[in-house]
Amino acid sequence: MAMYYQFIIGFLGLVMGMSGCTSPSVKSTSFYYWKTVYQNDSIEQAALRAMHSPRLYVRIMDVDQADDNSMPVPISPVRFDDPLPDSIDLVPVVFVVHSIFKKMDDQQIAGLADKVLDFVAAKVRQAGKMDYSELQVDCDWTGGSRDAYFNFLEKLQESPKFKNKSLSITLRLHQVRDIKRSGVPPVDRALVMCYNMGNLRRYGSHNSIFDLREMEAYLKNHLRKYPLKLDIALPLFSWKVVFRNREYAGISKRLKTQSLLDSSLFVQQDATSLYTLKKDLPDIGLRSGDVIRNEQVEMSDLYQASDFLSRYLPGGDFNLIFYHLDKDILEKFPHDELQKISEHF
Amino acid sequence: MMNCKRYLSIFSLTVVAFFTELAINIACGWEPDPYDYYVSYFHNNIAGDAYQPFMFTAYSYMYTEQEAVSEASLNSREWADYLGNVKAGDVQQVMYHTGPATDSLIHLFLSDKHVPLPDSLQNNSYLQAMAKSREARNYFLFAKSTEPLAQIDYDPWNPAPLDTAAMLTKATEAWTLCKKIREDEFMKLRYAYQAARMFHYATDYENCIKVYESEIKPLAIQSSAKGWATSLYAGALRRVGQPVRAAFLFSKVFETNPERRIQAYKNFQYIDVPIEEVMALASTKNEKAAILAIQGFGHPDLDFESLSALYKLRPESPLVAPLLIREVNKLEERLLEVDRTIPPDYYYTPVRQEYRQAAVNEAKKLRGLALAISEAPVVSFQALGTITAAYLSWMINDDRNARVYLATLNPKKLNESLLNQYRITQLLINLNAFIDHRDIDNEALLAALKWLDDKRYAENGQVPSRNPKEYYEYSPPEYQPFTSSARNIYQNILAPAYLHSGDTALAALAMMKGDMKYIPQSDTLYLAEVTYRTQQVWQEFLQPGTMKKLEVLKKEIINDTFIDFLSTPLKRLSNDDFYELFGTTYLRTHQYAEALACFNKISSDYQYAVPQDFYEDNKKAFSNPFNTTIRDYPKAYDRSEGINKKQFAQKMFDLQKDTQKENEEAAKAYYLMANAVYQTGTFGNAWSMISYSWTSNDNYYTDSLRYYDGDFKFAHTAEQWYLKARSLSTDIDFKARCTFMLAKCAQKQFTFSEELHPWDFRDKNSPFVVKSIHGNPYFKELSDSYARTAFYKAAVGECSYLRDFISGR
Repeated sequence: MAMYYQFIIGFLGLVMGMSGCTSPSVKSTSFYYWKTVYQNDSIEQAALRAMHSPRLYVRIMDVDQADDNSMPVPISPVRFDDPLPDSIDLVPVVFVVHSIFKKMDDQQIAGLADKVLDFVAAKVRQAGKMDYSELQVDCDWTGGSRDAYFNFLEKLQESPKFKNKSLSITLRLHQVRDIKRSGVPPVDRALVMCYNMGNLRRYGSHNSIFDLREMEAYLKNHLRKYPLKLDIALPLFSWKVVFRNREYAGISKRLKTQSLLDSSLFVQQDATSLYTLKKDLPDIGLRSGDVIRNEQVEMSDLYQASDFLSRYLPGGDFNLIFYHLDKDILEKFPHDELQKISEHF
Repeated sequence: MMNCKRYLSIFSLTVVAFFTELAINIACGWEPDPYDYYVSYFHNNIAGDAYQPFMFTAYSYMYTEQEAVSEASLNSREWADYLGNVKAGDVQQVMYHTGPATDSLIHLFLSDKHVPLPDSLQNNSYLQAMAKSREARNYFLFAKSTEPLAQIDYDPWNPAPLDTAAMLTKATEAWTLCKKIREDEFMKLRYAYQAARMFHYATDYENCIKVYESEIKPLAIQSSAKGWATSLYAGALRRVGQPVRAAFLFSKVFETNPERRIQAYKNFQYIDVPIEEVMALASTKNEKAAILAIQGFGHPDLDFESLSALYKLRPESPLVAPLLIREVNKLEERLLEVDRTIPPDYYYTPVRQEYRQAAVNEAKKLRGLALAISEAPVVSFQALGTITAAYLSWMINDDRNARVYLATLNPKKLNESLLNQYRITQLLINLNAFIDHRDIDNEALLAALKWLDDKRYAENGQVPSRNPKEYYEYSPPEYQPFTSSARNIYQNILAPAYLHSGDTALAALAMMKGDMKYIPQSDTLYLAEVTYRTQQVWQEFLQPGTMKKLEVLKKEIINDTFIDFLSTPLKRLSNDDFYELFGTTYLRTHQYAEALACFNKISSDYQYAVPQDFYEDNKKAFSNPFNTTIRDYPKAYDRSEGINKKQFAQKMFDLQKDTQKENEEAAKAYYLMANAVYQTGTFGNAWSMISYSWTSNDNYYTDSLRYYDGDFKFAHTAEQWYLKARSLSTDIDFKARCTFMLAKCAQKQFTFSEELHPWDFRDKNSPFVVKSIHGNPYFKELSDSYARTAFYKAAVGECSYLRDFISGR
C-alpha cells in the first residue's frame, strides 16, 4: 500500500513538474534595427547569420505631433538603401508617442491606424519584402492614454489590411508590475524591454540602462502572472549622460569613451561611472564642470539578466531580441558571446 | 443654506475647468497678434519693406514668410531681357501661372508650331519668342520636364521615397546640355542650375558641388539664378561636412538675393556654427555686414553689439536701418507699459520692473548711436537717426531732448514714412504736455489726432457689414501701425491720464474713440461693437455721476473742440444701450427711482440681455431675485420669464416705499429688498441686474474692486437690510430666517487669496472654516436664540455648514 501511495505521489510530482515547471527557453534570437537608413553591413549580416536570426525588428517610424496642435505624422521614417536579405523576415516596429492620443477621438484613431498600416506596408515593400506577418507597436502608454492606445491597437487588428497578421507590443517594467493601472493591451504577444529601467535624469552613479535590482523590484512577483505571451529584449548599447549643475542636460552623441579616459579632460569621481569635465569642449557642446555618467552594459549584466529571467519567466519558448544591431556594438558584443547569452537561459 | 458638498464639487470642477461660461470672455479666444502684442508707436516699416521678414516680433520665428521680392518676377524679368522684345508679365504667365491642361497645349505648340494656343496666350510675347528661338524653347521644355520631380506636395503620410533615379537622369542630362554651351552664359547658367538642383534633391551632393564649381562659379554673368545655385551648393557643402563654408555661402545669398533671403537666413541659422568661424571666411565689408545682420536678426533680446559693429563696419549699409528699428521695437516691449488701471488684454505681458533700468540704459546707448547716424555723411539715414533719437528720448521721459532733436529737422524734406514717424513722435511729446496741463497748441494737438485717425481709417476702410450686435470679430493678424498707434494713444495714454485725474467720463470717451478704426459712419453705434477693454471700462467703471456727464455730452453741442472730438462716437451710441447702462449704474447704487427713469427712456421693444446657464445646457438664466432660498446652489434661475432690469427697478422702488410702513410690513419689504440685492451678487441668480459678466472665480478676485462689488462680492447692503428687517419684526421664525441670511452674508465677506484655497473647507482649521463657519457670529445667534423655530430645523436639514457649526466639526 505504501508503495502504491509512493507511486501516486511520484507520478503526480512528475506530472506537476512537466506541466508547470518547464524552464523558459529561447526560441529565436533577433535584433532591433533602429537606424534611420537601412544599409546591409557585412558585420551585421554575419551576426544575423551566425545567430540564425529569423527576423529583424526594424523601426519604421515614430508617430508624433509635428507641433502642439497638429495631427500625428511619421517622424524620421526609415529609408531602405538596400533590401533586407531574403532569409530574414522583417518585423516592422512603429514607435508611438503616447501624448498623441490626448485629443484624438474614435474616428481619428481609426484613421491613424489606417494610415499607419498603409505606411508600414509601403515601407516593407521598399525593404524588398512583399508582406510581413507581425507588426510591433512600441508605446510607453500611461493611465491617461491607455484607453485610446488600446483602441488604436484594436483598430489595427480590425482593419482588413491586417488580415493574417499578428500584433505585438512592447512593455516597460512598470507596465508589467502595475497591471491594474496600465491594463493589458488587446494583443497577441508582448515584448518586455529589459532596459531603460532607471531614472535617466536623476543625478547619480546608477545605471539607468540596466539595473538588476530594478528588474527584480518590478518583475520578480509579476512576470509569471502577466497574461500575455512574453518575449524579451536585452540591451547592448551605452551612452553618456550629461549633467550640468547636477541637472540633467542630455545625452552626448559626440563624446567618445576614449575621451573620458583622457585625464587632461576628465577626472573620474572615485571609482564610479561619473566623470567631471575639466575644461570647455565647445565642439561637442560641453562645459567645464559638466559631469558625465558613462552608462554601459556588460556581458555580466546580460548573464545576470538571463539568470533572473530564467527563474521568473513563465515556462515555454520566447523570442530574445537584442537592442540593437550595429557594427560598433558588435565589436563589444561579438555574436558568439551573444549566442552564449541566448543559450544561458 | 446650501448643499455644501455639492457646491464644492461643482465649484472645484468649474475652477479646474477654467471657464467663464456666462461671460463673453475674450481670454478663451484666439492667440496673441504677433504684430500687436506690446505697446508700440515706432513703425517698423519707416525704412521700407526690404527686410520685412526680419522685423521684430517675439511671437513667430519670421515676421512674415513672404519674401520682399518675388522670385517669379525677377526670373521673368531676366528672361524678358535675355530674349528682348518680350514682356516680363508674359514670361511670368507662362512660366508660373499655367495649369496642366495649358501646359500640355504649350508643350504641343512649342513642339509643333501649328497647334493653336488658347486665346489668352495667342499674343504672348514669350511664347512667340520661344517659337523663334530653339535654345529658349528647348530649355523651357526641359525645365518643365524637371518640375514634377522638384515640385512635390509634401504629405508626411506618403511613404513613397523621392524618385532619385529619375532626378539623377535629369541632372546628368542637364549637365551634358550645359557643357555643350560655350558662349551663352545665360543658358549655360540655367542648365547648370537645373543639374545642381536635381543632384541636390537626389542627395548626390558630391556632383552638386562639382557642377557648381566647374560650371557656375566661373561664369561672369550677373543673374539671380547664380544665387539660387549658390544656395544649393551651400546646402550640399553642409551635407558633406563643411558647415562653416556652407553658412558663409548662405550669408552671401542673404546679401545678394532678396528673393531667397528668408531661405538663406533660415539655413544659416539651422547650421548653427560659431559666428566667428563664419566671419573668418568673410573678406569684404559687405560679407561681414551680412553675417552681422543675420546674427542681429536672429537675436530676440536686446542686441546693441551686432548693430553697432555693423554700423562701424559699413555705416551706409541698408542693413543698419532694419536692425536699428528692431532694437527700438524691443525697447518698446520692455519700457512702454499698459496702464493697468484699465485691465489690459489677456495676452498682455507686463513690463518686468527689475529689467527696466537695464532697458533705459540700453535706450540711452542706442540713442547715442542714433545721434551718430544723424550726423553721419549718409544723408538718407540722417533723418532716421534724428527721429529715432527723439523717439528714444520720449520713451525714457526725456521730452526736452526729444523736442530739441525734432526741431533740427525740416519736415518738408522728409519722405512720407519718416514724416509720419516725425508727426507721431511730436504728437507723443505734445500729449505729455497736454496731460501735464502745460502750455501747448491744443489745436495743433487736435489736428495731429485727426491726422492719425485719418491714417488708421485708410488702413481699415469701411466698417464691414455684419450683425452690429456681435462684437466677436476675428481677422488674421495684419500689421496696421497707425491703427495700433492711434488705439494705444487713446487707450494707453489719454484714457489712463483722465482716470488718474478723476475724469472717468473723458476716460470712457477716450477708450471708445480708441476703438473707432473704421471710416466714421453716421449709423448707430452699439456697445457690443467696441472692444472688450472698452466695454469693461464702460460697464464696470462708470458710476451715475459719470453717466450724467456723458448724457450731457451725448445730447448737447460742446464748445470745447477737444472734448467734442472725443465725443463723436458717443453721439452715435445707441440710446437704448446708453440708458440701459445708465439705469444699471443706478441699480448698483440702489437709486431705484432714477434707475426707472433711465429704463423708461429705452425703446418699448428693447430686448434686455438674458445670460445663458453653462451648467444647464445653456438654457436662459432669467433673474429671479425675489425668490427666497436656503441654498445658493444650484442657482434658482427662472426658466420661463424672470424679471428684467426695468421690472426689478420698479419692484425695488415699490418696496422702498413699503419700508416706510408699519413694522411688520416694513420688515417684510426690507427682507425682500435684502434678498433681491443678495441675489444680485455673484452667488445669486440675479447677478445680471448689476453685472455684465459672471465667472466662478468672482469671489476670489479681490485685488481691484469695482464700486458695486460691495453687493456683487460681499453682500454688504444685503446684510444691512436683513439686520433692519430682523429689528423691525417680532415674528421669531422670520427673525430666524433673517439671521440665517445674515450668516450667509457674513460668509460672503471672507476674502480668499492664493494661499486660502476655498476647497480647504475640509480642514477644520482652515481660515475659511474658522471664520465663516465656526466663527460666524450669526450661526451662533441662530443656534443660541432660534434653535426652536421651524425655520431653524429646515435650515439644519438643508445646510451642511450649519450642521458643521452645530457639531463643531
